[in-house]
Amino acid sequence: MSLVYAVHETRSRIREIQANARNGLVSELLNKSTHDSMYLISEKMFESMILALAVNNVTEFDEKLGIYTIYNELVPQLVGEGSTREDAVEQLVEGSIQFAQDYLEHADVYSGIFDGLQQLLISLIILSEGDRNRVREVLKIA
Amino acid sequence: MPDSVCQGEFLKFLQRNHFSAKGKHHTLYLGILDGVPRVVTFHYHKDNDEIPTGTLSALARQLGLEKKDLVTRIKGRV
Repeated sequence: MSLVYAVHETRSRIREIQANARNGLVSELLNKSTHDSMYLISEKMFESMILALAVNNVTEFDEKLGIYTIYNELVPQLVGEGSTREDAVEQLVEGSIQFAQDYLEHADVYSGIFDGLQQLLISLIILSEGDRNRVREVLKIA
Repeated sequence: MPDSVCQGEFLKFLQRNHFSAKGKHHTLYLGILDGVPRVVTFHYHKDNDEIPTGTLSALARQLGLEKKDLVTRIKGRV
């Protein structure tokens, strides 16, 4: 038994591939022409990967301007400012939603700029579909 | 503070390095710095508005630079 499937047989063998995921096995979907691979994993594995993702946010306070800035260490493009830390966090959440929308619009351009972990975090924000509480969870904001 | 940076100075730095605004929110700038493609999140309001130090740190990270190096480049000292 092989866990490597040619992309063209994905449709005909989808039940087998889904069963693999349920049994905790990773299936590789291989495009033999381009040598590109995609991997199908279970929700359990996906959630474990998310938990293992190191998501830290850095807070800095500018004493002269009286402004807090909070940004994500993994994807520093996710950034917020405010006169209080909570205002900065709110702007970080709002800015992350806007960033995700812009990213999705030009994913072909941005995908070459960000590494795999960054892409995973950005994808999780996109999957949050604008739900601010889910974005807070993804960004591990207390 | 001599190393404070205003929004107008940072915008000129982006323009000097041929970054251009992308996306419908006009806050993402795409360009190449030192041969590496970069995306920068920058909320421009006014030329004379000073950029908070924490935001400058975030901008430096986005560009793969140390903050001191970024300030030096913005001020055109290299």
